[in-house]
Amino acid sequence: MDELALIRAAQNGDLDAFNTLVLTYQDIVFNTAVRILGEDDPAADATQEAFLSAFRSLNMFRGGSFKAWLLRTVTNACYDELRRQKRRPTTRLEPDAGDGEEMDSPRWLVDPSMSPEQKVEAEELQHAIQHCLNTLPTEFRTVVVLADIQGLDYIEVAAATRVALGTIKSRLARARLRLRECMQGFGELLPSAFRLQKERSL
Amino acid sequence: MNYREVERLSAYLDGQLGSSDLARLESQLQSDASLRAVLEDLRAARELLRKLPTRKAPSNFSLTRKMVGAKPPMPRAYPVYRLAAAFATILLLFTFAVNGIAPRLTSFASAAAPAYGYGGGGGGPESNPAATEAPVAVPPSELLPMPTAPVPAQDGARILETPSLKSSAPETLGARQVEARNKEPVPFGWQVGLGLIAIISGVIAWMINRSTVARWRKQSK
Repeated sequence: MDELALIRAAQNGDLDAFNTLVLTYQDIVFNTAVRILGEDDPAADATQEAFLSAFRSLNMFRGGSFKAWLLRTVTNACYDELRRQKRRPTTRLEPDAGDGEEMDSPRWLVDPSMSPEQKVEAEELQHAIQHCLNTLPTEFRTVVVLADIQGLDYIEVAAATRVALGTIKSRLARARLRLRECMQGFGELLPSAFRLQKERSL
Repeated sequence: MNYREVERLSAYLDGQLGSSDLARLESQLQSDASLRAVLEDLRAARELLRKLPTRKAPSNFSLTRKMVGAKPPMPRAYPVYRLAAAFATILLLFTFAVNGIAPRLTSFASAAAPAYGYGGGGGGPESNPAATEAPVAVPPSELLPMPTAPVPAQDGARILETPSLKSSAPETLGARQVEARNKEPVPFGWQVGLGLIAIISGVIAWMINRSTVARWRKQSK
């Protein structure tokens, strides 16, 4: 069954059809949540919440990119999660402390052909990028995650975040600049990954 | 280097610049090395993010019947009918409130202008003393066109007269109520219409809900 047929079936209450869509998109949705929230457990919660709310409001989907629509739902779920964290600041301390360990988990290894050194470097680089993402204000982080990590175009990002197109442009520019500045601070820590970047930028 | 330039460079990177902006920026880029450096910085940041591997979902996020609950997705018409029912109900309650308050306001106004109260009395000025002295003797037909505002009588006698009227001619009072109703700001017909809309759309919403849930249960078996 193609995607549109699955969506139509799910709109009529076919949960199995919807779960087929879940399996297709769960990596993308979770990846978005983890990049926005920076932590695994809240990201998993937000992902589950996003799929549940997507199923319930599936009749609001009026065509277009289903991926962009789902990412809008998960963005909302992430904002809800961040609001919850703000209301209960004490719960935030623990996942923050566990941040590093989660990053080092074997799930990070996407390319099994890498040497152990390369793996360590790749993990450290990813850790550094996530660290820099976490330093951005939420609105900037969301825009850069949707545009540069998930590859949405400006219009889709604007729709997903309900923010004007001009604001998206300026947030994306600032976020990229700040990320670059932050990553330069990791130059010493991750020599090989940054040698390449430096050669290009000078 | 200001943020507007950074913004333009970032948009340029994504191919989002208009043709005039594009030509200007490209010529600037050729002459300005610092501009090129910033562009490369932005490109490097974007590349880092693009190359970031996708984190795999740690578990399966499929929904279960239990998570979804007994609430299947409702057809688009459902909220429309539900809203219509709620709206009509609120409007109906509002008309009751308006009709309840309006007579009091009217009587208040007629107290200031007594001619209104007596004018419709039918009997004319000379028939009034007769009514005051011998209320029981007043024929019902003469009371029929009695105006809606009997309360704001000027003298105590008129107030006293009212209870005896009630006891002597109950059928006249019924007629009066009908008349009073006709003078209410929201006509009775409107209220009936609103009530019908509320009931019909409520029933339709309920039927949509029921049939959707039934179909949903059948599918899930």
